[in-house]
Parts: sequence; structure tokens; C-alpha cells
Amino acid sequence: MEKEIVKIKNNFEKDIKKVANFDELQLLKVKYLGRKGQITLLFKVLPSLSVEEKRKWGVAINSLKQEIERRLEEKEKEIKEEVVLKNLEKEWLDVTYYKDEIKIGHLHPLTYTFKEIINIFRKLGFEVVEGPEIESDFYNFEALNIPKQHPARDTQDSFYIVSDILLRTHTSPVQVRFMEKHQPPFGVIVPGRVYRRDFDATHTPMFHQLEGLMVGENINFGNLKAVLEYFAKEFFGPERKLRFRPHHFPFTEPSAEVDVSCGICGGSGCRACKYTGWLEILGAGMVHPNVLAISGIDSSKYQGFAFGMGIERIAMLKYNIDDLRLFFENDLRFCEEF
Amino acid sequence: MRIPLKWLKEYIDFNLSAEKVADILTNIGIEATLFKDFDKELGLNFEGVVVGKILEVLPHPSEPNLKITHVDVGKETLKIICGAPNTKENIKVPVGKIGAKVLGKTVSKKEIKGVISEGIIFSGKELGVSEDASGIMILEDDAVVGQDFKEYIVKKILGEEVLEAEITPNRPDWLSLLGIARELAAVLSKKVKYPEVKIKESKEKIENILSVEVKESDLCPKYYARVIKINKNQGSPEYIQKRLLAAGIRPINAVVDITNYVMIETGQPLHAFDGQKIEGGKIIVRKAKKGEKIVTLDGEERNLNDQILVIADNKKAIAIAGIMGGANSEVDEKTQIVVLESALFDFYAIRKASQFLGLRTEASSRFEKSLWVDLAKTAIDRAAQLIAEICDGEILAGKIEVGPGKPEKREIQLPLFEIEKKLGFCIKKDKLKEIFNSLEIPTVIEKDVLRAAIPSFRPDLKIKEDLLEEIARIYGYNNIPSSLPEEKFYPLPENKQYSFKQYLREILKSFGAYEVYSYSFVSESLLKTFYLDPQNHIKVANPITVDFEYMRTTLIPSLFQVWLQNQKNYPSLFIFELAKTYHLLDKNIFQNSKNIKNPEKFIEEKFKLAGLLTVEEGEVFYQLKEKVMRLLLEINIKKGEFLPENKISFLHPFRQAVIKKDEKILGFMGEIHPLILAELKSKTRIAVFELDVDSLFEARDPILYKPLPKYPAVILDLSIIVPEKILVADILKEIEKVSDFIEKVVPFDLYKGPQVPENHKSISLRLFYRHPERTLTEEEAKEIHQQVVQRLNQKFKATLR
Repeated sequence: MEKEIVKIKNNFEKDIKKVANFDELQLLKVKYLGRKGQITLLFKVLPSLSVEEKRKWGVAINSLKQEIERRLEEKEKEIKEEVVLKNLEKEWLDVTYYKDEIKIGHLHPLTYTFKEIINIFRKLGFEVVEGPEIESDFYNFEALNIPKQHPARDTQDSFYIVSDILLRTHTSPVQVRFMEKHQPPFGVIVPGRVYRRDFDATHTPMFHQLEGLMVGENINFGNLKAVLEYFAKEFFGPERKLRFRPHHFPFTEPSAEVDVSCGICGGSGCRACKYTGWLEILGAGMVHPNVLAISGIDSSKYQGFAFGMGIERIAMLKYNIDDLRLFFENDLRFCEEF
Repeated sequence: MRIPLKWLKEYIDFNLSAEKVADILTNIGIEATLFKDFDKELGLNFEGVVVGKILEVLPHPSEPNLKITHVDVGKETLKIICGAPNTKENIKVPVGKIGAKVLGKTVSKKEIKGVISEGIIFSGKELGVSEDASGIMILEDDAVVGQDFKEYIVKKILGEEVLEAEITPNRPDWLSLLGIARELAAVLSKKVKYPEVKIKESKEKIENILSVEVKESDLCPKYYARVIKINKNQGSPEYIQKRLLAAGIRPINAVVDITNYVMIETGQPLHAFDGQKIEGGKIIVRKAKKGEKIVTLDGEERNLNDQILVIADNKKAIAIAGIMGGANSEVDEKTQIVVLESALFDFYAIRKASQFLGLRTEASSRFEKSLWVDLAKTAIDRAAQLIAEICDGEILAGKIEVGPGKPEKREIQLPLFEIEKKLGFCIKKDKLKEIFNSLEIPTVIEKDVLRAAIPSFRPDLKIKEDLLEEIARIYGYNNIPSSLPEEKFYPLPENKQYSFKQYLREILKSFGAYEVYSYSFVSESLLKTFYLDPQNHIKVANPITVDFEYMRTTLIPSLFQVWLQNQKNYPSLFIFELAKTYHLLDKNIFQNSKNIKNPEKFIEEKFKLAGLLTVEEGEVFYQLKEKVMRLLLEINIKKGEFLPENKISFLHPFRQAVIKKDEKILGFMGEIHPLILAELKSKTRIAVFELDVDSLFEARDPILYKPLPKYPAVILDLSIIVPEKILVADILKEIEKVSDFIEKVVPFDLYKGPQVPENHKSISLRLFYRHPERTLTEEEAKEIHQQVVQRLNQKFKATLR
């Protein structure tokens, strides 16, 4: 009996190595496990054996059977895989082909610019507030310490609806509107459209600004510098520097204009920065006590800073755009670049 | 403000490069750059003029007044005919070669009485570089033969480097070299060298010749006058002429030049009249009469209004106060009596007048920034002294002073603790005193309070914050340490409405749309094209052009214009804009707008999201509707309805829908009216939508979990034929009423054509049947399906297809 088992096992080993396809595998299956297969025949011998031998050889035959089954399954899987692999090349594709121009949607560069700037200031604790574009003389000028006789109030520089109502010339009125309803401390940013009566190569009658305001008990000029420096490095790049120049705005004191080092020449001077190494990006300062007072904030207790930037200018610097008017001409090929 | 640096050195010693000075000034608030382009600035209107040397002068064969010269212009020698009396050999002169352009005229070959002239030798006046027309211009020895004359003259004119500075309106004191010198001195710790003024008066009294009456002391708080009798008034000394040109002012004659010179030096505009042209020996400062006219020094006749201040004599206006003198009292070479005016005028009146006349001068640009009274007093003496010296004159005894103006005295107190609190850095008392000393602002520090006595030349200093700025400025803004705010506070809640707008933009981008930004304005003609009534629009009272006259109430016309402009590049497109529209709530705003603080009571501004779609094939309406429906789902508005509408003027009356959720209107969509398409020459049909952003924000459904269905659905399709005008929306509503087990109904085909009777349409629907608690059998579903068919038949005369 033992001889038989060994013989079958050895024969099976030889046989299975020769198998190359499903048909041969099927034949092999029949040869060993079929109704007249060698294993089946072995089992048929069992009843003629003694109880003890029956058990002994029964176990042995069974284990041989399981071994053969396992090997057959393995072989089957192997053959299947070979078939798949053989056919793969028939499925060869030209991966360099594609159909039609691939198009996606596009947001306006000013949207991207606003989004990026706002994200930076939100991290610093500023939140967005908005306000009306059709504004009163009071909020647009008076409350911002711009007296009636100030040149900024020349009627020819602003769009008027009626005598005391105009299209806001800056986002600053929202500072006052916000402070009328909130007590410090707080930090807000104000994005929005503004209007000035200018239309030439470097001015459009409508443009966009972003205003910032932070007021508390101890918000100081050094804080203003740090906040704007953080912004500039985040927005323009860590290698960029800021320069603060004294300036004059009616609604801040002290006031500053802020330049960022030129990204093209790195500060050594080139055409883009008119050989100064610096590009003006925003105006800023400590909120004038008159503005705080008229907004209902105790200027002996609270102080803070404000800043304002023209978004078109920032976007032009960011994306190297050389003509302001492109923003509103809406040539979609311009839009597609962003 | 132009700053000639060599001139500036008259008032302060420094030995720094021009770039360094520019840098220092910029850092203290005087944004300065090196000025290089003098071409336009100096009125140099010539090209191709070179330096030549006259080698030989020969008489003209037939014309005794003319001479023939041979002029070396470098590479060649030209034969030029010249009539100037000062023509002689071995002098260097400016030569216009053939083809040179001078004051718009081209130099060409000319024949004069049989002799050909190959160019022109110019006088200073002919080139516009001086007033001297008496002969050809004789150049100095350092002129190089063949050199571009422009290069020579610019160097001559200036003899120094010049900075151009942008002066902020709060600092009229910086509109003078002494003011600039004061700032520079503060940074360099130097002292300003003020010019020494010594007046030597003659015995003759000024009152014998002149009297002054100021009728408008509000507009002219102070008027000083001096009289100088002079013996000559030729060109001023070269150094004055050069400095003036460097400062951007053309030299005229000595007296005029000196007034300008002192203005640049001190900041005080001065004016000189020819005393013999003042009738009655009396100056009257009054408002112009209605219809009064004056010819100003530039030769223009100016129509005045009755708010404009003039300087007049007994009979006529002789100057527009603070702006420009009159031709009728002009000082020229023959002038023997100079009446010098140094006054203070109301800044606002000067600005208004300057605007009205469209005339801005060196004088008006200073006066309109509010000067100070004692400036006028010192400047007049300085000018009188120079005139007397240079024009060989004598100053009459006495200085006329009229008007109540007095120097303002004020003190500002600054508690020292505020420096660190507001600026964020500490500074020692010594350093503090030094800063104010250097700015010529006397200070005392007592009990930790700094008290500053503000000098009259600093009208900008009014409150303690102004002193803080002075400290920061001189300390250096860039030296102040930066530190992030340490103050802790609760951040404001997120502005979700704002974030929502950004989200809407992102969604449309993901649909392949292009975002545009168009102007908030529209023209009347565009409104009319879109059948919109301009009366219902907010009008800009002073638009720049008719294209920017009205505030838009819808974004659609603007989007349409964007399409028109792009259709040549884009056969189809999908664009959108998110922006405000402006709506008139109450026309009372036009009755009395004075002192309205909150215009939002009269005017409503709404954020709108609008889109425009064109397609190359298929029904554009349904293609856009699909996008709008997807948009609504993206923001979790599940039950948006699109219902027939016909009120929107610019849309196709039978292809427009109002978009609602639970009876609340969110917006509209539709196709642009074919008449508009035709008028604006659009080649394709166009579908548009506009949604109100706040309404969308409010209409969003909350996201709430509901258990997933446990039992399978039975899906059955249905194709019916109904009269054309039966709405799919109504059919869907009717079907849902039939049974609770109808989970949803989805239309998937709409057909009109040969197999469908006229005025009918075929609609195919997919119905999903599901029982919440058990498996619904196909038979049960079919039974309900049958009821649906019956109900549709009863209600809409629907038949199975």
C-alpha cells in the first residue's frame, strides 16, 4: 500500500510539471481524482483491509488527495494568471493620446488674491466684515477725520449719487460702522469694491481694497509692523522685506506707507521698481483718536492700527501683470491664465 | 518738489551722495528719487542740435546784414548764413544741422540770396533755453565741438544733481529748501544755516508811493508789501537762473527770478508788480466782480467768478491772488519801481479758485496747503534785499502790513508712557529732547510729560499723536522693533456669509465656469436694450462717461457684454460673476439727502450670483438648468423649484423660470430675449441665471442623517403623452400624491416629434417604489404604477405611449 501511495505521489509530481494549459490540467484531475482516478481507486481498496489498516491508510490516502487537490488549484491559478499576462500586450494603449483641449473653470485673479490675503489675516485673528458701497459723506469722510475742505473731498474725485451720498472711495468707512457696534478688542479685515473718478492707464473708476483694523488696549505700532511683515512674507515669500516710510493720512497718526522689496531684482534696483528696490504695497498707521472717538470708542483706553491695500496692485505684483485694465476687460483668455 | 542738492547745501552742510540723501529723506517721509529726465521738465523741445565752433566769418555777397560762417560741428564743417550781431570767429554755438527739429520745426537747406545755408545757429530764445534773443547763444569753453547740445545745456542748466520729492499735503514747510534742510539736519544732527537778512532802507517812505486795502480779511489774513526802486532788470545772475531751472522754473528777469528763488528757498510765494502800472498807487485785495476778466502772465484771458480773490488797483484786477499775476502789471526790463507782495491767503479759497480756473501754479500749490503768517513776513525782506542787491536798487522805508493774521502759539503735551504704549519701544529722555531740538521744536520734560512749543512752520502738529509720529519718524520707522500683538482676545465668529460666497465661486469653477469682474455701472443705452427702466436705477450724478451712468440692478447685461466681447474667441462659454446689485428702496433720498448718515435705508445692496451659458448644440436652457440644479444641490438646497415666469423683460417670455424654494424666491433663469440677441448681434441663443446670494444662504437645508433603506426598491419606467403645456413639475407632484411608497420620480426623456400628436409631448419617467418596513413585491409596485397611470389620465389626459 505504501508503495502505491509513494508511486502515485511521484507520478503526480512528474505529471503536473508537464501541464501547460487548462485542458491538460483537466485530464490530470480526471487521472487522479476522477471516478476512475488513481486516488479513487485506492479508496476502493480500503474496505478490504483490516480496521486498523483501514484507518491508517485511509488517513494517508486522504492527505494525499488533499495535497493533490491543493496542487491542482495552485496550478489552475498559475495557468489563469499566465493567460491574463499573455493577453496584456494585446491591450496596449497609446498613452500619449488625448482628445480635445482639456479645459477647467477659472476664478478671477482678484478672487485668488483676496482669498490668499484673507486666509493669512484670518490666521492672525482677523475676521471679515463687509459694508455698503453706496455710502454717506459721514462714513466715507467726516467720521474718518477728513474735513470738508480736504482735497480728498473734491467732488470731481468721487462719484456722487446726491449731495451727501456717494460711492465709497475706500473701504475705511466700514471701520467706523464696525466700531459703532463693537467694543474692542477685535481685529477685522474688510474686502470690497471702491470707486474713484479716474480712468486712464493706471486708474480704473472701480477697484478693490482690503482694509485691516485691530484695536485693543495695547495694540501698538510695533504690532502693526509685525502683522504686516508676517503678511508680506506669507504672501510674497520669506525672502521679501518690508520698508515703512512716514506718510500722511487723515485717519491715522502716525501714518506709514509700506513698501515690499522688489521680487524681480531682490532690492538692487530694476525697471519694475523704478530702480529703487522697493514696491509700494499699502498704507497704514495708528488709528487717529478722532476716528475712534466718533465711532464710540474711548480713545484714552483703546488704541489700534489700521491698514489698507489696493488688491489690483497686489495682484499685479503677485502675478506680474503689467496693465491694470486687464482686470475688468474680461478677456477670457486673461482669465484662463489663472 | 524738486530739490537741487548743491542749492540745498547753501542751508546745510553735508557730504553725501544723491542716492544717500534720497534714502534719508524717504525714510523720514519725503519720498525722494534722483531726477534724471529733464527733457520735458526743462521744456527742451529740440533734437539734433549740436555744439559747433565758428571757424571763419565772411560777408554775404549781397546782404550787408548777413554773414557767411564756416562752422565745425565735429565730423564736418558747415556753411551757415547768420545775421546775429554777435557773430564772430572762435566762439562755440548751438547749431541745428539739416534735419534737426527745433520747437516742432525741421531745419532744412535754405538758399538766401544765392548762398546756400546748411543749418542754423540759434539764440537761446530760439531753443527755448533762455529769454535772450539779442544774438546767437555763445557757449562756454567746456562745450565740446560735436557734442549733443542737449547734454551740454542740461549740465549747464543744472550744474548739480536734483532729487524729485513727493510732498504729503500736511507738510507745506517741505515745499521749501529750508524745510527740507531742517529735516535733513534733524537726521544728521546738524544746524540749518538760515540766510542772513539785512534790510537797508532809503529815506523815501513807502507810503508816498503805495497804499494797501484788504477788503476780504477772511480770505487774506495778512498782506505785506515793500517797494524797491531799481536801476536795471536784466537777466538774473547765472547761479540764480541755473538753480531755478534745476528746480523746474524758467528764468524770466532778475526781479521775477528772485521772487521765485525766495519761494523755493522759504516756501513763501511772492509776487512783484511794476509799480508804475498800478493805477492810483493803491492795491486793493477784493473778490472779483461778476464777469470780470484778466489776462494772466501766461497770456491767457481768464474769466473770473465772484468768489475768486484778486489783487486790484483802483481800476482793474492786476493779479489773481495766490495764483498768477496779470499781464497788465508785469515786471519787465523797463521796470523801475517794484512793488513786492508777500501775503497769506485762505488755502481753501485758493484751491477752489485754482480748480475753477484750471490753473495750478507753484504759488497756488503752496497757498492751497495753508501757510503760516510769519513766513510771509521774513520772506518779503529776503526778496527785497536780493532785489536791491542784484537790480541796483534801494528799498523804500517801511513795510506795509495789513490784516489781522497773527502767528499761532500752541503747546502740545505728551505723557512719556504713551511712547512705549503706542509705538512699542522705549526711548531715553535725552534722545527725546535731541529729536525735538533737531527739529527746532522747543520742548520741556517735566513730571514725565513732554511739553512741546510748536513753531509756526509746523501747522501739521496738533495733537500728541502728531508728536509720537515725529519721534517715530526721526527714530526711524524701520528701527522700531516689530512684535506680534500680545493682547489676547476671543476671535470674532467666522463670517459665514463671506465664506459662502467664496464657496459658490469654487462650485462654479468646478463646473467649468470662468469668473469675470465687470463694472458696477451700466449705460442708459444698455438698460434700454434690456428693456430696463433707467428710472428704477440709481444714477451717478457725475459719471466719467455715459457707460458708467447707472448702478446696475442685475448682472445679466454686464455678463452679456462680456459674452459679446469674447464670442470671436469662444464658440461656447460659461461665465459667472458674483457681485452686488443696487436697488432704490425710497426715492425720497433725492428730495433731501443732506445729512443722511445711513443710505442703506434708501438703497439696498444685494450680492448676486449670475451666470451665462452658450452651447454649440442642444437646448441651452436645459443645459444651464442642470448646472443651476447641481449648484443648488452642492449647497444643500434639495427642493429648488423652477416655475414658469414671464415678467422678466430681457428674457424670452416662454423660456424663463423663477427659482424658488418653499415659496421663497431665490432667483431666475431663462434665455435672453431673441430681440436683444438680434440687436446686439449675438450669433447663438444664450441662457442666463441670477440668484440672490443671501437667499441661497438662508435656504440651505441642514444636513441630517436618516437611516439607509433596508429593503430593495422596485424601479418601473413610464412613458406618457400629455398636452404640451402640462408641466412636468405638476405631473411629478401628482404622482407623489398617489402612494407613500413612491420614493422618487425622475424624468429622463422629453420628446416631441412624428410619433406624438401635435401640441402634445411625450415624457418618460422612472419611478422608484419602496416600502420602509418590508420588501415590496413587483406585483404590489405594478398595482401602484397602474394607479399612477389612471391618476395621470384623469388629471392631465395622459395616455401611455
